[in-house]
Order: sequence, then structure tokens, then C-alpha cells
Amino acid sequence: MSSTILNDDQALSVVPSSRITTYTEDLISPIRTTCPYCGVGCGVLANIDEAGVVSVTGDPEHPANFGKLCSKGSALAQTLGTERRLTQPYYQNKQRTIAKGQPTDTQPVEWEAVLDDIASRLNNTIVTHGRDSVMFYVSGQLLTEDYYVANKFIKGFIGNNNIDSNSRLCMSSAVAGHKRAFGADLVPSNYEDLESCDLLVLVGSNMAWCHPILFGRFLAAKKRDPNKKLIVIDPRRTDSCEFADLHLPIAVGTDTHLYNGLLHYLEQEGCGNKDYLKQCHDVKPALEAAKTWTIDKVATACGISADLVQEFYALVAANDKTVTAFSMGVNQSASGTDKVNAIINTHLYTGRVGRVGASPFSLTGQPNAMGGREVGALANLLAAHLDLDNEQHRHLVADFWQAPQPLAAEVGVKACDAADAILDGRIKAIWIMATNPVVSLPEADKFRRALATCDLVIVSDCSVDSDTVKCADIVLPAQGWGEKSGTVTNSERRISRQRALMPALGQAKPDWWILSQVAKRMGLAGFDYQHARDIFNEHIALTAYRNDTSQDVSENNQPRHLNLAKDLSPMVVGAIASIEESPNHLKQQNKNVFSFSHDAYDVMTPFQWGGARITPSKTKFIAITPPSHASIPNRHTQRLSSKSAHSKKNNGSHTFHQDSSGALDLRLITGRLRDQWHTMTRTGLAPQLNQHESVPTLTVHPNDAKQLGVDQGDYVQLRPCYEKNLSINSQPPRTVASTTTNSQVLAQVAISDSMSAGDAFMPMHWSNAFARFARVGTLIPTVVDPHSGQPELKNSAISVMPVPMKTYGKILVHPDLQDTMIVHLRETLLDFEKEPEDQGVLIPSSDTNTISERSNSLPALTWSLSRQTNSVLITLASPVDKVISKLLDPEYWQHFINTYQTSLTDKSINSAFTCSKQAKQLRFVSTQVEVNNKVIDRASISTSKSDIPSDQLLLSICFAPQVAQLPSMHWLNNCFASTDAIPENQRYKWLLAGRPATGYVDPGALVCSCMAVGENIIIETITKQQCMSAHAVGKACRAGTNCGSCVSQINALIDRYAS
Amino acid sequence: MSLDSPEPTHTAFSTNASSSRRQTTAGIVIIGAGMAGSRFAIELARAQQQSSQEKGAAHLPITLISKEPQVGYNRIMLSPVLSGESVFEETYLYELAEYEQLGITVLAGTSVDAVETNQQCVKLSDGQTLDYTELVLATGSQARVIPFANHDAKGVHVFREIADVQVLTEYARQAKKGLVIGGGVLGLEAACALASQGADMTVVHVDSHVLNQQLDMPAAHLLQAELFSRSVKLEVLANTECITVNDQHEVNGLLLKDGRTLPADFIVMAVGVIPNTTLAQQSGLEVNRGILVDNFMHTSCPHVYAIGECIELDGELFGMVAPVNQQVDTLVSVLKESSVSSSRRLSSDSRITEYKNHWRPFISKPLSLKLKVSGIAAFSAGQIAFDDIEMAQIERVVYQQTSLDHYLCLYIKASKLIGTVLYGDVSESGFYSQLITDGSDISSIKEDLIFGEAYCDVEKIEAAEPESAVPSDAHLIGEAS
Repeated sequence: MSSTILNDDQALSVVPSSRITTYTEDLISPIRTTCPYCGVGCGVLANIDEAGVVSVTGDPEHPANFGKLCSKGSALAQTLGTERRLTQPYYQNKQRTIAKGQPTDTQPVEWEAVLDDIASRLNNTIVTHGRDSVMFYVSGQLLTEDYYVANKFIKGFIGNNNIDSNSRLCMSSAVAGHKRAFGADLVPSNYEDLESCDLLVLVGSNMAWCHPILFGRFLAAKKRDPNKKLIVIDPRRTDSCEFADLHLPIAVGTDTHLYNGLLHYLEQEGCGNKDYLKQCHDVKPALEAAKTWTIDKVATACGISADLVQEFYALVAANDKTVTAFSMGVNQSASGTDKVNAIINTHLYTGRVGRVGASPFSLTGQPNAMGGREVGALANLLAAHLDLDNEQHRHLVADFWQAPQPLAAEVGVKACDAADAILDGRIKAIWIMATNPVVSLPEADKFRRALATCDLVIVSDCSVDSDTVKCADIVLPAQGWGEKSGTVTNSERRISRQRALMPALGQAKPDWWILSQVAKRMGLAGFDYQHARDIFNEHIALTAYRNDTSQDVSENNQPRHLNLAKDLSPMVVGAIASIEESPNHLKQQNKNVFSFSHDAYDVMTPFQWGGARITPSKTKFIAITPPSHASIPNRHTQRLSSKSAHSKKNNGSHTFHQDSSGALDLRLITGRLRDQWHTMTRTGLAPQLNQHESVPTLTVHPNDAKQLGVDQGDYVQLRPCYEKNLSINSQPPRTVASTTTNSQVLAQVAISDSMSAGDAFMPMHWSNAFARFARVGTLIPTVVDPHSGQPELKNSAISVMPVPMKTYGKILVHPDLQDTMIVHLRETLLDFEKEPEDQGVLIPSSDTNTISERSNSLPALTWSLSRQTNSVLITLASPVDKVISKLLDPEYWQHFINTYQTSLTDKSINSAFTCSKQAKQLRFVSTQVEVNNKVIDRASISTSKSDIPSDQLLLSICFAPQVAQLPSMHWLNNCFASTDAIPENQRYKWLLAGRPATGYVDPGALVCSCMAVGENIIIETITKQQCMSAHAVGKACRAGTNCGSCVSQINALIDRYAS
Repeated sequence: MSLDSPEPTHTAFSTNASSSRRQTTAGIVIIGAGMAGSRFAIELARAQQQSSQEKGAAHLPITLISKEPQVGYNRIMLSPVLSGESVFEETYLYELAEYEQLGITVLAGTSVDAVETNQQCVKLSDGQTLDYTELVLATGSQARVIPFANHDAKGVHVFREIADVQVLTEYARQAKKGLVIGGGVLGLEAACALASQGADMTVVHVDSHVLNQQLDMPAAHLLQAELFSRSVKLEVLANTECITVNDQHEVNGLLLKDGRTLPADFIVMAVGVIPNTTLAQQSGLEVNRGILVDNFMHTSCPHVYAIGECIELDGELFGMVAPVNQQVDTLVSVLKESSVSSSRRLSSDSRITEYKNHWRPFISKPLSLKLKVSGIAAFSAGQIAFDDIEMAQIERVVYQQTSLDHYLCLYIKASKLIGTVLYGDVSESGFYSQLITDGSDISSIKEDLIFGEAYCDVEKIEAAEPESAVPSDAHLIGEAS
């Protein structure tokens, strides 16, 4: 088939402006694939050595990243082991598993049997409860092919629209905004716009952390041309602000106010692009709505100075080449769609749309959110950018699919409605794929309760560390990154291949295969796929189906911009597949449409659908009415009541609410960490990525910390104030959690003046698999945007209360012992919780409602997990004496390790401890040696020196009343790799001390994840080698030289330590 | 042994002494050539020699009187002799030739019948009278024998002298069944030694655990388990009613108060010692349980001193090596400048005033223990037993390595280490006992103390009373095998 493969030169000669081509064969090794994290969609080169060990670098050929990778992408190879993987389908007693937090009563099953069973149970559910009783909840981590099959399966053949994606939590406001403004879900901008703009405005985006490679592209351009300006609009002073010319710390949720004001300003300043405005609809109402938003009014609403607003407006007005890049701070909002349109309005008004260096730009959060949009895998979308509410479109799709019945017109159950739909009996069977909604959805505990009551819960995933897996009746092992193969679309509409690097582990299967197998067993036609390519070709065909580019532009979104056949066919002429290669059900339809041959699909290079530029041809202004109470009132003042508003003026010092229990009401903003991704099931495996932040933290302003009486590292309890969130929406949210909710979150305080007083920030990554009480989703009420259905995730009322911990602990365990240890800790906690009357913590009683709501006890023991290079670090704390006396008892740990030892026949375990009951300190270590009852394999001895048995460190436990009394874990972690360096007769003392007796310098907390450089090393280059710039530090110790996302941290160290 | 250099005035005083009229006396007479007496004789002679070389002063002669024919053997090394791991000749503290080289007159196999303090002379069993300028009583102690019924039966022994070793070894060789009454250091050493020689041994102990003076409960339990593994059986909380005998008045068992009779072919009483005070008492010295002395080892009588296990100071008796050696050092500091001129009979009081600058008072220090049983390393020092009120102020830091039977325990009070018990791994015994002895403030190293000296920046700590520090080897005499 070599004739089908073109080389770069040939392709470039056809379309110089585009890079659609296929790689020549000698370019296939190393394997080119795409990063599975954010929406940037960086190209990855995977090298596989002779031993099968994978290493990754950025793909210099990939137009998203040109060879660069961020900390997460750089660490991809570390996530490819066999650890924490699901490898076998199994049944599970979900009630017991939910109660215990670990899989219980599991029953492995073979694929054949479980697929038959699922098919028959889904058929029975449909027969008994109707077509609408089945739901799929899918994910932006699915490949386009998986997505396509899921969407076709449920919409075309089960016959409902109950399919939603975790993209609902990510960019559905952007989709809704795009559709309102452009008539279709179009992203009119390219990454190169970030380089060619004169002004980049980031709205609700910590681009330095969340899209670091793109941010790097802008910064490189700004370095070349320092006149380029960066403005960051964010309630927090994020690391992105480090490089900004202007930071507008607006109050959460006031983006529409700011942008209405901008539109008004642009009109006043005469910045309208008359030519462009000619093709725009509804300009006047939008300008009218913006009219009242004077700079002063905006400043008041946003809580910033009028000068700052003025400066921002002037810069936008002055720079024709302005790109406004927005992300979750805009989308994850009850007014997210309006925010998107308020931003787009200003671009439409100035004609800065789809032009080089001038465009609004939605930065998507997930690797394939865009692919999901293209196949329509959301409850309110159809497929191929066709419209669900358009009957013709539904016919078109049903016809293409040869669906057995017309497609349903009703919008399906959306993500945030799923819990209610299950609880009120509408949904009887739910299939969740590649996402962890028990962690990520608002009112996450309610969703978990719903799953516990649902008749049939199927979860397909690749990781055992998904909390949602523990809520399933049937668990299916899906292939993960590095195994699966297909396509993804990035934020600039660029479609790239993810390629398999290795055979799948165990019995893991591609999601499209699992879905197709079930569909076929349900007796459905049209799922006879042999390869991901078959599905992609069908997707291509559907985008082209009755999408005649020559037809006139109609109100019906016709012709559609999304037409992959149009994009591909002129350029890859030789790649058209023979009919024999097509699945049977497509053979009739596909004759005249472009199709990838098997080989051509394998060597497909990244391309942008719709070409390099999409210029929306009919655009619409949306009149925006900013919500009157956009933010949760700062410290929850009763601003809604006019009386209290009045009294507030007279009593300005009492602007916060703090009750007698010491609780302080704060506004919760959630977001990402630099080195983590989603619920950490993958990044949590990479030791380097767990160093930047290894425990759940709540970042607060120094004043609030003072008010709470807490210091850096102290623990606080976060409780939801669902009822207070009602006030921010004029429309009451459809669901209100009962006040009996037991949601509990514990976090360690991080104090930073990057926060506004009254705001608190907590990362969204922590799940039960990695922390006992840190699922931030349990704190968030279900308040959704009326247009997009996207939940408000960055503007919630919480109450924060100090938790005086009496003991702090660090446990390092060998990864083999991780689950055993967690089960042990859970049982410790459960044992304790069974005896409520004995609890050592008294909550101050009071007659106010607020207090009685808080009368739930404090968690008696909390912990979080962090994967280290050779071990797993568990960070613990407890406020309860009775628990502490257990934890500090060496017998308790001896018993634990004895229990573990009984399961080992060929190993013996030795333990040592040191303790002081009076000082409340314990250190305990266990090592393991192979007992000499194995037949020695002489061949293996000759090949491997490491066969000489030596003590394997299994467990290292430290407890103390103060964190500072715990040893650093760096050296101990290394000892999990080998204890050979320790003198035999000193072994236990060294291990208990946590360091060698002499001559050890601790590298300190990891600052640069990519190059693995610790804080102490950086400080040394500053103080001893006189490195006075991040550049010099990088030269001296390599810190900050890869993705650069730690440069601001390095600069802070220079500020602090440079003499 | 380095001592402070005398002040110039003292030098002048010493030089004058050469004109004294009593040069022909026996000089400094030491009664008793056990560990205290023989060591004192040697150390004093060495100090005199050094002083003579430096100043050319003439010193008093030294006479050492020994009741036993063997002079200056290390009694605490009898356990290895009993277990057959050592021979008696190895127990001598000093080469016999050394006494001669240092000019010490040794009167072996001679006992003292009386002391005439007024005349400053002693009457020997062979009829001789010996004048003394200074007299040192080092009469030691004898093994205590509890007067149970039949305590005088054939087969009841103590473990004190080389003669005892010889008899007990014979029982062991015949694989006899033996009981040791007393689970103290000596009793356990005897039991282990005899068991290793073939005897079937059981230790009978009144307390709840062995070595209750020296070990805390966890360490004692480890030790007891180790003893058990060596076939030494143990009866704790066992009160003896009487010794039972056969027709020939030979031991055949031990009747306990709980009614049980433990069969036995022989019994060793290891229930402590009684100071030998008879001679002192007869000589008119003040005696309580032991011969009363002050911190400079003076008895109630001028020119008469006492050291070792026969003395009592502030109500305390001394049975361990370290304090006895320290007493020797004190007395050497007091008497090393004595010369013929000291016959001027200065009163004790005025002498104290005059010499106090280089006299080193004896201060009772926390004791340390080392058990001399092959393969068992146990060590303790300082205070390790506390009443409840005291215990509330004590921080107890424990280290344990279960599979190796290592147990270390530190008792800390008000930022000082006041006691330690080490079992299995005694490598840090020197470090800890030094800290206890010095009364050092350990707050800066407390967190790492349990990990040993290598983890502790000892430069940061200071001894509370550095001037009173005893030589660091003081507690290391008597090695574990």
C-alpha cells in the first residue's frame, strides 16, 4: 500500500498553507501520537526501546506544540505502567463497595458473558421502562471514534438523547455561545493568532498552568516583540499574571458586567467595524443593553478601580489585533453562555473575528471535547454539527444511520440532571465511560447516592482509582492512552491521531469495541466495525452527507462548515479506501465520499477541519443583561435584603459572617493545579507531578486566615451552604440539596495574597481514591446556566471552620501495599464512626440554625495520597484523641503488618519502631526479605545483579504533634528502591531517623517538575552561584527550562533569597 | 590518671616533708586487696611516682594487706570463669610484678586483727604491728545469706570468691539441678554460667521481673525470654519458705510460700552483699550499714579512710565498679600529696581547707549496668524506676526492633536524660551514660537522641557541671563478652 502514502513535500506542494499529509514510513518510528490532557492537543513522539520502555518527547513536527511539552505531557511515560489499571471485566456488589470505599464482593467475568449480559439487561430495561430509561455519560477523554459510536448507539438505535459528556462541565457554555453568535459551534481562531496578536486578554483562564504550551507560544512572541500586551481577568492573581501588563481581579461572575461596559466603551470610542457589522444581526439591542454600563458602574460591580477598567478598555480599543482567550472561569458559570456572548459581542463589534491575530478564542479543557462536539455527543446536539431541534437534520442523520425509528426530538438528560433523573426513576440504567462524575459533578454525593439506587450502573474505565468505578454493578476495562487508537480534535479544530504504543494490558478493550459489541448483541445493525478507521470514515461520510458545499447558506446551518470529506479529499487523493475495506452498512453510501484506507489512516497527519480559517458568515449579537447578584456575596453578607444592605453601610466593619464556632463564610472558586489533570487517575501515577502540590489545600487571603485563626498548613473543614447559593440566581436552580447533606471536605490552608479577601480556592482534582475528605464537588450546589446547562463551579458559598489537628502523620508505603493500607485506614475511621457517643470532638452548641447544621462531627481521621518515585506517600491528620492513641500505638501497626505478612509465604517481614507516648510521636518501619526457599535460577543470577536479596522497605510511618517534627520523605522514598547503602547494623535506626547519620542534603520541595529540581537546589544556585534571574538559575540547575510553568516560583525564590 | 598540678605553695609544703621523723613507718596502709584496695594501691603509687618525677618529693610507702592469697583480682569477672569462658588468671586487675615495680609492699594471706587508731597502728594475724600514717579500709563486703531454715545445709552456696567458683563448677559438670535465689545481676550470671556448664538451672526471684533494679519491664521480658531459650528457667514472684534437706542435711529442694517445692541438688544465694564492717566497728569507727565516710572518703576517725563496698555515704551503699573506681580516684587526690610531713597531724578540717583545690570530692552518680553473660547485651544507667507522680514528669522514648530483640529506652526529665535501659544493642551505652552523668541539657538533640550519637550534634550540648565529669571510661569497665 506504499502508493497511498505521500511524503511531506508532495503534500505541501498541493496545499502550502496546510499541513495535511501522511507521514512517510521512516517517520513512523518513533510513534507520533497526541497528548491526552488539555485541549491544546500537543504532538508527542513516543520512543520505545528494545526492552519495551516508552519515553516521550514533544513532536517538533506537530503544529500545536512544535516539539514542546508541559510538565504533564513530559511525564506521560510514567503513567504507562501496569499499576492501578483495570484489566478484567467484573461484577461488583456496589452497595458494599460504596460503603467500604474499596471494591468488595467482586466477581470477574469474561467479555463474552458480560457483553451478552449487558445487552440483555439493556434490552430488558427498554422493554420494561421504555427507551428513555437508558443513559450514557461519556467523556472528553474518549476518542472521536468512541464518541461517535456511543452517540449513534443511543440516539440512533436505543432512541433517546440521553447522552451527555463531561464536556458539559467544560465548554458547553462556549458551544452555546458560539451557536448563538455564529449559528454553529465554530471556533474561528487558530493558535498562531496568539503569536500574531498585539493584545492577548485572558478571561477566566490560568493559561500558564492549564494551557502552558500555548501560553509559551504567546510569551515567546511577546519576548520577540515586547510591545505585545497581556491582560489577565481573573478573581485570583494566578501564575499567568506574573507575565501580565494588567491584572483585573474582578469579583467572581462579573465578566458580563465588564464586557457589557467594554462594548459600550467601544461604541463610544467609535471602534465599530462598519463593514463587518453589516452582516451582523441584533447589534442594536446588544448596544442598548450595554448602554448603562459606564466605567464607574462596571468598576463598582466588578469590585475593581475605575482606573483599572479604563486602562483595560483603552488597550482593547487601541489594539485591533486583540485575541480574547477564555476558559473555565467563563464557561463554568450560571451565566456562562452570556459571558461568552458578551465577549464575542465586543469582537463582532470591532470585526475582530477569525482574522489573523484578532479573534475570540475558547480554550477547551479536554483532549477531545472538540471531537465530542463534532460527533454531537451531548444531550442537546445531534451529530456532525447538525441541529437536534431541526427536523430535517434529524431525518438526515436517521437516514444516514439507517436508524430503526425517527430520532427523538427532545433534548436528553444532561449531566447535572442525571442524579435527579435516576433518583426519580426516569433513568434505570446508566453507562459511564472514561469519566469520574462522582468526583466532578456538583453535589457529587447526591450523584453517588443516585448511582447506589440505580438498577444498572456500567462503568468503563482504565483506572481503578476512579471513584465512579466503585459505584458500578458492572466494571469494564477500557484501553488507556498508549493502547487505544483513534483521533482527537484540539482547540483550534486540529484533528490528530492518538496511536497505540503497546498492546493493551490484560483484557482492556477500546470503548468503541465495547459499545459496538453490546449494540450488536442487542440485535442492532450498523455496528459492524473492525477498526477505529471504519468509524472515522463513517464520521467523515456523515459530515459530508447531504452537505453540498455548493448549496446556498440557509437558516438551517447548511452547508455545514464541518465537512471532513471536503477537507480531506482534495489533498490525499490516493488515500481513498476500497469498498472492500468499508463496513457492510456503509458500502452503499460511501461510494463517492472520501475514505481513509487502512494504511492512510495509520499515517494520517494533523489537519484542521474547515481549513486554516473559518469566517462565520452570519453572526449575531446577543443582548446581555448582567445578573444583578453575580457573585456569592463576599463573606455571604445578606446583600439581598435591602435592610441589610442599608445596615451594611452603617456598619462597614462587619461585612462578614462568622459564628461562634469560629466558622467563616467564604466564596469558593475551584480550578486546576499546575501538574494535575482531572481526577488524577493518570497524573496521580507520575511521581514528578505529585510534588508541586501533594495534599488538598484551600488557598485563602491572609486576612481571612487571620480571621479564622489559622496558619499555613493548618486544617480547615469546608461545609456547603447550598441554601445561600439560591440567592445568586434569579431563577431558582432546579434541585436543591437537602440540608441534611453530610458533605465534608478537609483541606490544609495555604495563605496567599493572590486571593481576594472573602474568596477561597480549592483544586478540583481530589477524589476519594487520593484523599479521604477532599471532593470539592460535594460542596457545590447544582446551579446551571440556562442556555448551556453548564454548572456554576467557581462561585459557591461555603463555610470554613478551623480543625485543630492533634497529630500529623506521613506514611510511605510500597505501591503493593497501597490498597491494603487504605483499607486499613478506612476501617480505622469506620470503627471510630460507629461509636459516635465516644467522639472526642465537641462542636460548640448554639441555637442558631447555622450551628445545628454543622453539628455533624468532624472527620476523625483524614488522609491524602501522593505517588512518589518508589513509594506512595500518605499524609494524615487527626483531631481526635481516641484515634490518635490508636495511630500512635506501635502494636496497632505491628498487627497491620502481621496481617499482611500472613498473605506472604516466601517473605519475612521485620519491623522496628521508636515512640514516645508523652511526646506523642511514633515512627515505625517494616522491611521484607525473601526467605530462601526458592529454587535459585542460575541463569537469572548471571544476568541480574539485583537478585541478591536485600531488605525491601515496605512501610515507613511517622506521627508527631507538629508537621515540623516529621522527617523529610525524599531519602526514605529512595530507600524503597534500595536499602543497600545503609550499613546493616544501622538499618533500622537510619530508616526511623529518615536520613543517614551524616552528610545528607535534602533537595527540598520539588519546584520544577519537568527537570525534577527541588527548592533547596534552586536556593543554592541563587545564594551560592549568585544566579539572579530565572534564566541564570535554569542554566545552573536546569530548573524551569522545559515548560516554564515554574518560572514564577523561581522568580519568587530569587526575590526572597537574593542578597 | 591525670591529676591537677599542685599549687606552688603545696610544692613547698611537700618539700619540707623530707625532714619528717617518721620515715620508717608502713606509711599508707590499705586493708583489703579486692578491686578497691588493689586499684587504690596502684593508682596512688602511680600518682606518687609522677609527682616525684615532677617535683622530686619523697612519698610515703604503701602497704597492701590481703586476706585472700590472691591479690587484686576482678571479682566481677568470676562469671566468665564460672561459665568456663575465661580462666582465673585473666581476672587479675594488674600484673603482680607491677606492685613490686611501684614499690608497694603486699602482705598476702594476712588478715588484720585490730586497729589502734590512737596509736596509728594495725595488728596483724601473724602478730606483727604495723604503724600507719594514713589507713585505708577497703574491707569490701560478703555475700548475703538469708537465714532460711537449712541455709547451712550442704549444697547451699554463695557466689563471691574463686573458691565458690570451683565448687559450683563441679555441680555443673555433673549436670546437677540447681536453684539460684535472686534474679539480680550476680544471680543471672551464675545461673547462665552454670547452665552453660551443664547444670539444670532455675532462678527464683521475688519480684515480678528479673533485674528489677536495673531493667524496666520490657527489657526484663526480653531478657527472660533469652534466658528461657538458654534453658534457664525462672520463677518470678516467688517467696521462699525454707530450704528442704535430706537425712544427710543435704539440699534437696526449696519450699515456696505458695506451697510448691522446687527440687534442687544445690542452691546458690545471690541476694546481695553485706559490707564488712566488723574491723571498723571494733576500732571505734562510726558504722551504720557500712563504714560512714564523707565525700573525701574520711571516716569518723582522723587518718582513717574507707573505700569500696564497705562504706556508706549519705545512706547509700556501693556495689558497682564505677562508683568504687571514683572513690579510688577521690582518695588518690586526697592522699597523693601525703608525705612524711603530714604527720603534723593537721586536723581534717584545716586540711580540707588547705587542699580542697585539688581534692576531688566523690559524688554519687547514676549507676550503669552491664550484664556479663555471653551473647546477652544489656545495659542500664541512671534512674529507671519511678513512682506515679515522678512518672508523670518523665518522657519515655522507646526504640524496638522486634526480630532482633533490640530494645532501647530513654528516660527524659526536664530536658535531661536521667536514665536509660538498653537491651540487645548497647552500642550507644557510652553516649547515653555520659549524658546522664554530665546532666547535659539535651533539648536541642532530643528528637534524634534515640537514633544515637551519630545523629546528635554533641557540640550543641553542654554538660551541666563540666568540672565534675568523671572519666569517660569509668563505666565501661567490665565488658560484656
